Amino acid sequence: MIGKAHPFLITLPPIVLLWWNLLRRRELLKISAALLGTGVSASLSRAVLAGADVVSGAASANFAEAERLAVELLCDMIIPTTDTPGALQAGVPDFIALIVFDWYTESEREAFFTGLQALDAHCLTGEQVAFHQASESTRGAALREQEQVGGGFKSPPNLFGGFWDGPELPFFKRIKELVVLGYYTSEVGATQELIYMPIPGEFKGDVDFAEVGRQWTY
Amino acid sequence: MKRTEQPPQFDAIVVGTGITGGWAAKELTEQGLKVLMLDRGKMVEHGRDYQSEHMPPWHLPFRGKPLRELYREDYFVQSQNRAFNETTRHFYNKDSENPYVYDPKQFLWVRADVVGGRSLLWARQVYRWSDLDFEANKKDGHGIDWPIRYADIAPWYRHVEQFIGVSGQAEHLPHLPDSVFLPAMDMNVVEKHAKAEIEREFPDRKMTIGRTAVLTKPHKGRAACHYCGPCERGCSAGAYFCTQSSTLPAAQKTGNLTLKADSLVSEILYDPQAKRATGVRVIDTNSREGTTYTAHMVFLCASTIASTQILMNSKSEAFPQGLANTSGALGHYLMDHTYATGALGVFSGFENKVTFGARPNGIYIPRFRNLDDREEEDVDFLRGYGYQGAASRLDWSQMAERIPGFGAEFKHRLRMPGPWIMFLNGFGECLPYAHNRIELDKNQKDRFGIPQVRFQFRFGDNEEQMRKDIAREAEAMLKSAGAMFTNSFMTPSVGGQAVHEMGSARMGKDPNASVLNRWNQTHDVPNLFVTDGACMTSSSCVNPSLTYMALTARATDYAVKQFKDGHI
Repeated sequence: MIGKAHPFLITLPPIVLLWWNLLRRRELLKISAALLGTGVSASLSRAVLAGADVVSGAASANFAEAERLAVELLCDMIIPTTDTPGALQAGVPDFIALIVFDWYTESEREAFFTGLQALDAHCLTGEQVAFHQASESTRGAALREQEQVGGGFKSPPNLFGGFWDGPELPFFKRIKELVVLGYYTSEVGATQELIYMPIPGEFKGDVDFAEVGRQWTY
Repeated sequence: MKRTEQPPQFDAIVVGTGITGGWAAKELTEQGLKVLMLDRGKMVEHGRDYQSEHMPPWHLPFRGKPLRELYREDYFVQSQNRAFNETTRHFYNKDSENPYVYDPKQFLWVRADVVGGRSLLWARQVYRWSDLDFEANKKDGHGIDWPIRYADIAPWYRHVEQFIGVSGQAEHLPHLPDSVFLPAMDMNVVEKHAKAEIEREFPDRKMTIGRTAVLTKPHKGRAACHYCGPCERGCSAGAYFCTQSSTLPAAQKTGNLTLKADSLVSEILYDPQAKRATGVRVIDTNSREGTTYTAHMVFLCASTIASTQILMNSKSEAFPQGLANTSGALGHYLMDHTYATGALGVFSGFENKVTFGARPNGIYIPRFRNLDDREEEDVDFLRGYGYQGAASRLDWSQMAERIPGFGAEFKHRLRMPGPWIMFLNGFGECLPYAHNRIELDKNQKDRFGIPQVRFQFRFGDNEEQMRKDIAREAEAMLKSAGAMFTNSFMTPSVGGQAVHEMGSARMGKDPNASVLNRWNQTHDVPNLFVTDGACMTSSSCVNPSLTYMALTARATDYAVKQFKDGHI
């Protein structure tokens, strides 16, 4: 095994993440202001919901209308449009349908829908509407609640290789995995958010990140 | 010698088309012999059949998520290999169709099922052995002495390297002789830093760029690497050495090669009067029809386990315990390197640095334990180990779950590379034990009626002591290199995991203790050669493929001379 660490190797002590998060904090404060102030995400997602084209799905079954709307909203909440298109425009809802209906086991599928119901339950308690009808802030609170609930679950090392699966995976990690994997492996995510480089032509071991600004993907 | 009335159909039959089969076919055909090369697997045409080469992630089925049920039912062994996924599955053996008696605690038999074999899938690391390795058995008394020394094989290393193309850095180490090198690949910024620190802290240790059969400039009609990353999908540019890119076209160019895919060799045919192998019995894996091919000589290059299986299944009155097994050594002394042992470190101070291109190579720390000229006071094991490793930044797939929350900030953080990590993974030499062996199961047969292989394999105390040292020293070196956090790992190591299985038809001087002589020729049957990993008498700690290739080329040279002189 060469070049890239095998998933079994990448077990990092939690302190690494604390350190890393602190390290990135200053930079994040700078960029957050630029990205978050625009409100672009909400308006764009509404536009898409109002009929913008989403790549046609290949899944063998379809979500019910309320589920579909919820999945689309979750895509937009987790990876919104910023200075690049978000998960919704990248067609991630279709990927999620494909995984849920054609890749998940029955128990994983149940766990997925149970998670959607938990989001609805949160919103029904508050605004007395379903998740897909709730306000942005209520939806955000519902999803954050799910993150809290699943917080203690032992982190899988990698998005590939089946480490993320099984019915016991908390809903927040499940939906996050689907959106992230679907997005960064999509043409939009790979070529617009990251720099897709199928044939680099050379190897350079010492490049200033400032000259690039984002990850390459191969 | 006495020739049969019907002249044989071929001068030589080569069983297997992987790294050694390809070499045998190339060398024999270039010497003018008419060669039949056989593989049980299906044909893979260079370029045309690399169906996943450069396939973008959005075209991968389920974006690369494993097909769990299929893997569990049909690929329960192969799916454990590092290179197995939906972009490479078509090269691998289907375990349900071609099974062995699988016990997860005994041995993982990683197999291809295509022409080209594991030369398509290998990790391409190539290192020469030295006399430290060839003399090891003799010095500490484990196993029997090798019948050859470095001087015997050195010219053949050169011969092989000049053809396959090896990139690497000359280091002038007596225990890890330099190859004929193409320009070395570059270390990245963290690896360079670690190298400097480790070599300062441990003056007896060296870190070098991996030596790899990947071209860094055009070579013999093959293009230089373009650093796309996953070599194992196949490389139509031919930038890494495999049968299809290198030895097969060379053999075909002679006009002397006949290649048959889907042709499983079930046994070697033997004429007790002439005391010669006469050919092979072949089963067409599609029609299941049996046929025989005859030749003046047979080269077994089917891979360590498969070659031994074929010999064991070639029983006759003359050889009731398997062909060329007068010694009783056949099947015994199976080895693999220890694996899954080492450490991981997190580095800071390079946050503004990234790499460009997917380098199909890592770094190498050559053996530093139990070298001849050194006193070792605190080492409680024999022989040694080397490390492969690399530094890289964690990418979006590795950071996604580690970054809390969601939304624009989360997305932006995934755009940035994660922390630098560096891992060192040790490969430890395994002693040759008689009890580590391959057997044929008397009851369980495959779909062609051939007895299935069964393993008895466990690493010994020496390997376990060595693994502790591997983990400890890996962590010590990463710490000395300035890693902020380190984590050593030592997960259960099962034979076959390193895919460096070797031995089971070992070479030796004594026909009563070994299967093969110094020319990879069976002691019992002079026109039968075994030149794949089965021939190995000890295991060294370096990746073995280069040595298999050199031994194959050397054996063919001998065989051709013997053939032309009328001895075989």
